Amino acid sequence: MTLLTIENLSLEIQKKEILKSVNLKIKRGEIFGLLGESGCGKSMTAAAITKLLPMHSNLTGKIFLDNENLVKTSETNMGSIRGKKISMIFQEPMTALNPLQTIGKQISESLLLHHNITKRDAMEIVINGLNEVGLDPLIISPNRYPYQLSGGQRQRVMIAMACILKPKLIIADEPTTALDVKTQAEILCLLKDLVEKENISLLLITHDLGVIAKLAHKVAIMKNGKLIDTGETKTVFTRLSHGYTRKILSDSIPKIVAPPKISQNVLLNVISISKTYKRKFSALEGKNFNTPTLRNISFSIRKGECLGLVGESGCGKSTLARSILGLESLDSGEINLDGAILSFVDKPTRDIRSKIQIVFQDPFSSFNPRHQIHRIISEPFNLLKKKHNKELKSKLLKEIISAVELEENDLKKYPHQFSGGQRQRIALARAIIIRPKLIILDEALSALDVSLRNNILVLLQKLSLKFNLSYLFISHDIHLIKAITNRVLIMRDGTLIEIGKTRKILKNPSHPYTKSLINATPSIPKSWIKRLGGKS
Amino acid sequence: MNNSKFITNFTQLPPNLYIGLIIAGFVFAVGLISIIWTPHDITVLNIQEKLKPPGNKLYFFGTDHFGRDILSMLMIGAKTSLLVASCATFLGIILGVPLGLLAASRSEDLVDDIIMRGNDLIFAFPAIIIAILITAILGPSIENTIIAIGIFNIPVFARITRGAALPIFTLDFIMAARACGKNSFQICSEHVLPNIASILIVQTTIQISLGILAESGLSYVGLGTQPPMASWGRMLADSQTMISFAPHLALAPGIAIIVTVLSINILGDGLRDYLDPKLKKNLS
Amino acid sequence: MLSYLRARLFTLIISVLLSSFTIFVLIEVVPGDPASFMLGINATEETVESLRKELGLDHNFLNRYLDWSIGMLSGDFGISYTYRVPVQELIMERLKVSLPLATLSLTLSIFIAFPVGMLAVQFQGKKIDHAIMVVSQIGIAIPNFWFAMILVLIFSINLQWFSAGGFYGWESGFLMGLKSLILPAIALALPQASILSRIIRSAILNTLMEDYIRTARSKGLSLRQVIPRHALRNALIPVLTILGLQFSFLLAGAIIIENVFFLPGLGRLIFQAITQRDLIVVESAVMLLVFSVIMVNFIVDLLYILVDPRLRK
Repeated sequence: MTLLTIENLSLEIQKKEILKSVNLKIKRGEIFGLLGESGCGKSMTAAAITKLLPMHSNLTGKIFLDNENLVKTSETNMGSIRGKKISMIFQEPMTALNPLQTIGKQISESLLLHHNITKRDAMEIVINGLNEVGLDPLIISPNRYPYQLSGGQRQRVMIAMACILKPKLIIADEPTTALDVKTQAEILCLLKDLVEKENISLLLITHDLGVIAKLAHKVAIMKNGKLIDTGETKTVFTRLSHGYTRKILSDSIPKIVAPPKISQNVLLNVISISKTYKRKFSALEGKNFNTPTLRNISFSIRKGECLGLVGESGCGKSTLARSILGLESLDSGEINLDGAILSFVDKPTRDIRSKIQIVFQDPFSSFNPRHQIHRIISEPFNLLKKKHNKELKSKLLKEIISAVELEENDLKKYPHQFSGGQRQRIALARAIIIRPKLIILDEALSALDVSLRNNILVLLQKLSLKFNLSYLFISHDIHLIKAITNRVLIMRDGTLIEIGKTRKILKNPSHPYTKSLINATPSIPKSWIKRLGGKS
Repeated sequence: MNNSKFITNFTQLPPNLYIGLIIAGFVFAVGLISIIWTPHDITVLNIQEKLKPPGNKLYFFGTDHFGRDILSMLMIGAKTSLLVASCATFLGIILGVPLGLLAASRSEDLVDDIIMRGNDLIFAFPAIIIAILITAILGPSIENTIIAIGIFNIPVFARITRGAALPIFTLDFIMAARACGKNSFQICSEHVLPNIASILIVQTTIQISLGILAESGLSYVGLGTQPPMASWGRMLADSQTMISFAPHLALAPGIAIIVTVLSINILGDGLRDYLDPKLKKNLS
Repeated sequence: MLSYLRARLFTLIISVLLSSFTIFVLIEVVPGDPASFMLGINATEETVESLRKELGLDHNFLNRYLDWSIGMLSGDFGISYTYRVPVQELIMERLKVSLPLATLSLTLSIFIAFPVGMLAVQFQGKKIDHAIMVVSQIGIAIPNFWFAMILVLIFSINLQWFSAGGFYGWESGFLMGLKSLILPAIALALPQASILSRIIRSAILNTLMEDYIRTARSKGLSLRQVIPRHALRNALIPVLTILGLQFSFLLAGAIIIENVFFLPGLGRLIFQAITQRDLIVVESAVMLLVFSVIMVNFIVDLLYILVDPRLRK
């Protein structure tokens, strides 16, 4: 009952080895997870199976789909396999659909391409397909354009498109990574139900062990283009016969580093702030659309505390962060830092600003690519009243670069010479060089591979103790929040719906929204974690 | 060791960069030389020597209907072309780039709208219309040609600067700089300009080559450079009535224009290949 | 869609108002006294005074602007000082040459550029593509008026297929009229087509790198099928933008080309008017040219709606 067999598959792109002799088997109706960090070759495996490879690639080995070797088959023949026998779902729902075509037309395209049917018949099948993915055709008409749908709805359209011809194999490449937690849970459920119902095999490519644990019958773990470990999902993660498997499992569980004791002194006090984001005035568009982004928000951060802030994208988290930084003028309310008023309507003074710094999510856009690290890290000196002389500056630079566990000669390098994890260390160095009191970590760990997260978590804790720092830790990841924060705020549509001790809220959420958020978060089975603890 | 590193870098330069640089550099040098020396004095008319064909010992490219040396006129024409096109491009940069930066940094308010609508307005006036309006009032001169082409360059640079700067302004390092108390001017000069410089450099070459074409067109219809100053456009205008019996008069300046514009365009392509960050990663 | 339309219409009106005001100020205010400017230094005090009356210079400047702009809206462009006929008649006569010339060359450049650009895409990286890129690179560098002169040298003087210049007029038959416009149109169209074909090529190639092209390929479409179904329409947006901007270059080129072929078009009218210092003609003809550029860009904005459903909301 094997559907897909890959034997000794190797891939070179422009003389660079991408895949090294990969072997795997996928059975009919099976959900097969392919797990690995970014750049390990998982997406290229998918591209190899469909033979949609970049230019100058050299593919060797065998890929059997029902006894037909796809490596040897002609491009014309591949055209009749793609869409009909193998279809794909991609990560970015915003860009994977043609913005200028109706979704009905895009879904029906493969029908019309592979079957000799009329457009009217095709449209009927499309309407059925929309129904199956949970989009009511009476509400979401096939005549809609992608821009009229939300991210989750677009991903449903992608799934409808992939399933419309009842293929034998669906390859889903990080299908939920770009989505919010709750949408992710819904989409994963839908995928699971559909493939089970139609007996379709699913190759699920992901970096998220939680997703694998939830869905995959079998798993293969990939590293640097090689398969390290493979087998039944449960067996692989309880047997833990490979060091790398063990590492992935332990990395996927964030280390608890939340400070046990915190002082009672309040550092930051946010008192009922509100902010309405005004759209650019235009006589052209007639009226202004004003949507409130922050509604009457109050909370405080104590000295040495790590306060978590959880919410889905667009809930106002980033606006709140900017407001605290003094980069956003508020409609009403007050923010106090160490007793001094930080921002109301006027711009705050440099002195107050120097007490708050920020670390961003994307380690790639956080630095000017044309500046050397020493210039990047010393930028906050600009906030100081008294300018440091050269010697003091270089002394402080050396001190801070070793505090974030990097080398002194890294100061002369450029950002592109560093990996993502190192970049977040540089971002931290920039944030703490002028000894602020509060650091805002805006999804600072979200873009990192799991293997790097725990190290940064530990570093954050060290720095907090060494430099007396408090953190505002903004994240959508419940597991990370649990690991590092003492208290947590849950935010939705610009309002705070829950505040309290992290443990308490995660255990007994009072608000239904919090409850659904926690339930939607894919988590790793306790039994696996136990095995890990037992063996190490 | 340093030396070998230099050489490897040198050979990695895109070939079109060399070719463009060599030819455009040659034209530039010829224009410079014409300031101090030309084979003949073109302000002296020598009717006895008129309409000599090319290949003549004294007059390498022949002479025109006044007996002026074509080679000398071509050399001076090179100077005129490059002078007008560079000055006009410079005018476009010093006014257009700040406007574009201002528009991009204030993209959420009215300033952006006003600047961009102003741009659209100038765009509605083709360079030749501006030249016509200016000459109608002030009379034709080389300065007015520069102003006419320069005005047309302003919205070009404003638009390209704004377009390139907008995505930069959304990046986190801009926000980090703001959090460090940097003002708009510092942010533009330290963070935005260096990151869009390559796009502006490539656009500069494009505008210079367009400027050379515009200058020749304006001079051809009599709105540009005035005699006795030589320009390729004027030479073409003069040659038109004689094209049936002295085609070399039309060919020489035409080919000069094509070669110059072509070399600058190739240079621009080479610069784009060289400065493009995607390719640059492979180089460094 | 309504808000988009309203925005474009607003821009259109503002642009027309501001450009007419600019032209008016430049021509009637900057030279000082337009009447003495037009008549030159030899004019007597009396003639200057009577021209002043005729031009309405005794009124204040704002009233004159209003009179002029309202007059233009109702089709009254004033009376030419040198020809002594209504300016609109002069312009209408010249438009019979300029309008067909512009249309012909624009159509020609589009009909050349699209197939050539698509051909380059089909054979991307191959010899045909390289050849197209080299030829179009040279095409961009050729000044159109020089190209026109070369065309005359080859086709009129040597081969004698066409006359070297002048316009037979539409009265002598449609084909005769068309014949005298063919060489000028080709001279205008070829450099334009060079730029346009390069733009089309790069727009399609850029679109081919989009995610939704990968989606389409994964449905089983071949590279050849993907281009007409998914890439072409999406690539049209940047191409339209460039096409709008090109019109202004086309117009500028046409003014110059008319001089090469001695065509009695709008450009020649403006030049004659300048040498005769007939500011009334210059003013109105320039306004008409600027207005046509603004209108073409407005039409391009409307075409976006056809291409892009996101603007229809």
